[in-house]
Amino acid sequence: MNATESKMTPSLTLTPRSPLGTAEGDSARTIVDNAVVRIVEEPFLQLTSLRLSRAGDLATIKAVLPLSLEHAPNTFSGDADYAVARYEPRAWIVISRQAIKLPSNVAACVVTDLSARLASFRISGTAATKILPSSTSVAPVLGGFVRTMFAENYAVLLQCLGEQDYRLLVDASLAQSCADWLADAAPHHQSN
Amino acid sequence: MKQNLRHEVGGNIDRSQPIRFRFDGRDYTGFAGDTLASALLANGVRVTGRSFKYHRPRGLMAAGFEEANTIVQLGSGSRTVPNLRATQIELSEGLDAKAVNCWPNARFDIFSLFRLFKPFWPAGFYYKTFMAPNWKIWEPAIRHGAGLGVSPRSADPDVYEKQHASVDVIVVGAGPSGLAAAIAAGESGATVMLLDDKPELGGSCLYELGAIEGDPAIVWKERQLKVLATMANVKILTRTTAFGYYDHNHLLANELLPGNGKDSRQRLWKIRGRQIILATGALERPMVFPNNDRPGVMLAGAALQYLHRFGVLTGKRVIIATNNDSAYEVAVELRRAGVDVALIADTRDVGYSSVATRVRSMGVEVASRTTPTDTIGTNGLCKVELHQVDAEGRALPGTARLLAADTLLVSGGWNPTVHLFSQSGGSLRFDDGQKAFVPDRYVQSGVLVGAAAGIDKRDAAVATAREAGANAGGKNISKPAASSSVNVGQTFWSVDVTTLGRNSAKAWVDLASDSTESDLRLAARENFISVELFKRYTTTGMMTDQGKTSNVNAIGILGSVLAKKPGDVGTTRFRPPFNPITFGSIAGRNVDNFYRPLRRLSAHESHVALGAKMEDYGAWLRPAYYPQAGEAEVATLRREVLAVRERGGLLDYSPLGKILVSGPDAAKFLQRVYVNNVQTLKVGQCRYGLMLGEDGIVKDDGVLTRWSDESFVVGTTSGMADRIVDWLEEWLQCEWLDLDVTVESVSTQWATMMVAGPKSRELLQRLGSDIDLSSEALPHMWAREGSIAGVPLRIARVSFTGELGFEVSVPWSHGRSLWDALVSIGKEFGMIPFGLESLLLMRVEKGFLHVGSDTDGLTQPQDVGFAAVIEKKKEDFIGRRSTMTPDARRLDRRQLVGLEPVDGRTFLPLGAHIVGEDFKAPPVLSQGWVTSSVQSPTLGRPVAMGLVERGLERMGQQVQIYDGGKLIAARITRNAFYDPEGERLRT
Repeated sequence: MNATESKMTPSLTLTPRSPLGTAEGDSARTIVDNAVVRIVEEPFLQLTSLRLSRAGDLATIKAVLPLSLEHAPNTFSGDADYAVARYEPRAWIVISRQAIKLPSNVAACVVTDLSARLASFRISGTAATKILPSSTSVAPVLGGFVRTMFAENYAVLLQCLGEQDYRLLVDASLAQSCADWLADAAPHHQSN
Repeated sequence: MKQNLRHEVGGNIDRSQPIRFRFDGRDYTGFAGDTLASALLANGVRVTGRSFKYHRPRGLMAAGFEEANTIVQLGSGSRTVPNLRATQIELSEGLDAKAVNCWPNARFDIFSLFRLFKPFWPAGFYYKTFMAPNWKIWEPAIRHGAGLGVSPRSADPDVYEKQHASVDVIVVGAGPSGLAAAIAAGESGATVMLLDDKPELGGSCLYELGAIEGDPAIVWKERQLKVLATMANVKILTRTTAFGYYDHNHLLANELLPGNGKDSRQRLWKIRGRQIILATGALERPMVFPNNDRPGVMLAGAALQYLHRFGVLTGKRVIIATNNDSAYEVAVELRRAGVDVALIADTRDVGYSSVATRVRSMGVEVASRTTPTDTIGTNGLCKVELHQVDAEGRALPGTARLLAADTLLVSGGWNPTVHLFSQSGGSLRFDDGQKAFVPDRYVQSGVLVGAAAGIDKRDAAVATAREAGANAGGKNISKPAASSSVNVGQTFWSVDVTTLGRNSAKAWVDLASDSTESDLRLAARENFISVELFKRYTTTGMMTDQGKTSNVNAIGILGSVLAKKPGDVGTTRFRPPFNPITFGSIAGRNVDNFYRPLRRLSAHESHVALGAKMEDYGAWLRPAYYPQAGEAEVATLRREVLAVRERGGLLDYSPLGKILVSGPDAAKFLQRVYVNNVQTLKVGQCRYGLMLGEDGIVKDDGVLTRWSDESFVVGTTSGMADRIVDWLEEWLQCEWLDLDVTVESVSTQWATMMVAGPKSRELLQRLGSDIDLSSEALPHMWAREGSIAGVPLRIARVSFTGELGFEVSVPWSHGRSLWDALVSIGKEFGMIPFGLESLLLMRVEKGFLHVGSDTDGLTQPQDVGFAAVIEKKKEDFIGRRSTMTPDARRLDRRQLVGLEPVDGRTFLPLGAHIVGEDFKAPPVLSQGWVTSSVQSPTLGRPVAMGLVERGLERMGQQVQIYDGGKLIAARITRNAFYDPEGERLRT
């Protein structure tokens, strides 16, 4: 045992929190829940970015990574629990509820954990199709996954999981502002 | 007041629902379904506004968005809206409106005395008059007097919404052509949006009763609406005005929403359509003759709208002046409504044409080759003077007639409403047959149909619109050719009364901007003959109506002066908005906190709990400092700085940009990006570096860390993080396609805490991690990866305070936990949290550069101490060439140096200019300025930095700093005032 170790804080634990402050094990924060729309936080999704370099070959990558990568840009394969979305010609994001470990040393492919960088909101209900078009110019259709400007201010990733069911991924530092925006938008789409 | 001009029958109004309203301080009653304009007209209100320059009395002249005279201020307090057209305001209970540009009201306007000055206010008078002795003397008063109406003084409490949509086909205008196009497009399976500015669909079907495809217009319309109601793929928006047509078929429209106090007041639509069908109809032209602006002079088509849409008569005794057939239909309808139509004066020789014969059979006199030459009345029309004219418009002496009338309806022809088409980039051509500008060359995917395309026969218009709608799913819609069934025999653009010994000084061309024919002729004489210059010099077409009723007449008159056809004169391009919209609608919900959302730190709640003063730094909400109860800011900063210097402190440094640059060519790429040498950077090493723009100007700075042979993290300033990512991508995607590099922003993947001060290493050792923090294992400007409590950890030994310092990074989700632990354990070492203001103060003590504060739009790297680095670097880098120009190598460039007051006490004001020793009084050439200045708690005296001409070679020299008339003696020094050798940070 060296001198450094002897002075270490013996019982230090670092508790993860979602960008909205939800601790692991706590129930997710509900932003809006009414007859026409439900907006809830999805804390602690595992988000992994894959960027294929210009020299990279998709077939080679596929052989190494157990992922379906060949779908068209701005679409995804999978479901709400596990999806692989292609949001740029050479960039994918793996969204998973369960922890997955992808090899990080894939040739010509950069694998980066972005789980902490993005906050996730699930927006569903009949008013979802009004709230999102009031906030962003591109509302994807079922199976779509796009990067677009939100609230005329910042970029988000938007995934259409069902006819009235969307997932919105936003930078962690803007999560509170985004939640406030969505909460403010919801009452205006109850009736008109 | 009795509605003495309300017809006993007709109109799409609800006579069982009277509505009380107020205009210009007087109470009136209208009906549900009225506009403010129709209700005013029904109540016999003649003077509804005052003209812009001369404050002449004006009355309603139109029935739609082309109204140029009746501009009102609606409502009061925070909800007031200026400059609305009375013709576009739906009447509602308690509505309160006031004419703008007059006082105390439009009936009696004290400013009407301005009329006396008209001879002195010709076109361009202010360009000529207010140049002497100096424009700047006059400018404040002119600006104060400019504009119409008043903006609300307090924040609008209402909500404005925005909505995006994307459809196959957008149809603008729900008249006969628009309805036909929308139905055909819908039947083809396309998704369609149909927009109309009125509350009711139908357009001209609501007031032009003639047949469409064999059925009366109303019956035809109802049938179309029934079909539309069954089409789920057609979305209909009423009260929605399309006002902007932008690139890639992006259409903006403003929807007025029924207010109930809870929902939004207006909604701004941003719609993309694969095809846009413009069924925007046509606008009637006024006729140009002396005193054609008197209340009671109106467009003929407007009279028809008031009669059939609102059951309102425009007057009891009417004269109609025209140069085309369309006004005859108005005469027929008015006559049927019992109005005394005294005369139709037609500039053409109509003889026994069918239209003339028809109205004569109803007892209406028709006078060929006759036109008005003057009107008489004070606040309303009493009499009309008419003369016979020749084909050039010259009034023939000895042919005068003076007829009593309270209304003069004019029809000078029709202009297709091509504004949106023009905005889209489309060009126009002058159709000599129609005497109007019609669509010529399209540049975006869409088509004009119906009257907007110059097709005035309804059946033909509907047929071509239907064809366009049916084909809208395809890529190429055939463009219908303009065709006119109306006998347009117009041969002149304004009546020439000089033959009567009069002039055209009171013949108005643009009612909104108060431009007269004589103004236009003067502009042409003064050689403002380019239509763009002509427009600006005369201000014709520059008011809120954007020349809807004036532009073509103005072009025609200019053409007649220049002996050119209107098509050869050309047109100006119409610009958005087609119809004024409120700032509230443009802003939408992006107001207050949503105007510029602030980013939050992962430990935001902890900072707040610690009493941090949170402030906006580059859109990040960050602790500025942590005051104790009752402590002033200066005292807090002193306490925080001294704590860091003596023991240590903690700062949330998370906003710094972190960009992962990876790939086999990452080092080669960054070698081109940075001024510094990157390729010599060893794995685990950090280097402070500068990035330049192509102009050689300092763009950003930060610490670059090499994590592996092919992986770097580029550090940026917090405000530039996103822009640098885009910039790097731009170079990779547009310039250096041969480089195999990927870029990923990880700025907020990692929360970073700065631990600074002599006890910082002890604190981190106490915190515990698997990283050896000893000076040997982790020297200054090196970084290591590891873990803490099972969480990924990165520690970089860098310093921006001048003390031993570490930047400790964990995933954002663990940032708050780490911060709380650091603060808690830090207490044992006397370490406290400190804010950004304290950090910025310490960096000045240390003489560290702050890009943006110590640099400006001219600063190159050699100005801030990087001359040797540039000289040493062999490879090319972005901006290098610009650092080698003669200007970049000038010896008298401003260089970053330290500045100290000679007396050791006087604070050197930030931004104050440096002047020479021989300075006597301004103005003199500045030798530079103070870029950073602090009262140093550590040194107990003020210190500063500045960009000073030849600063480096003037080390030790005394200069004078000029501040608001006072001079402060200062000495040029090295930047680093504190620990210049850097011993403390290398401890």
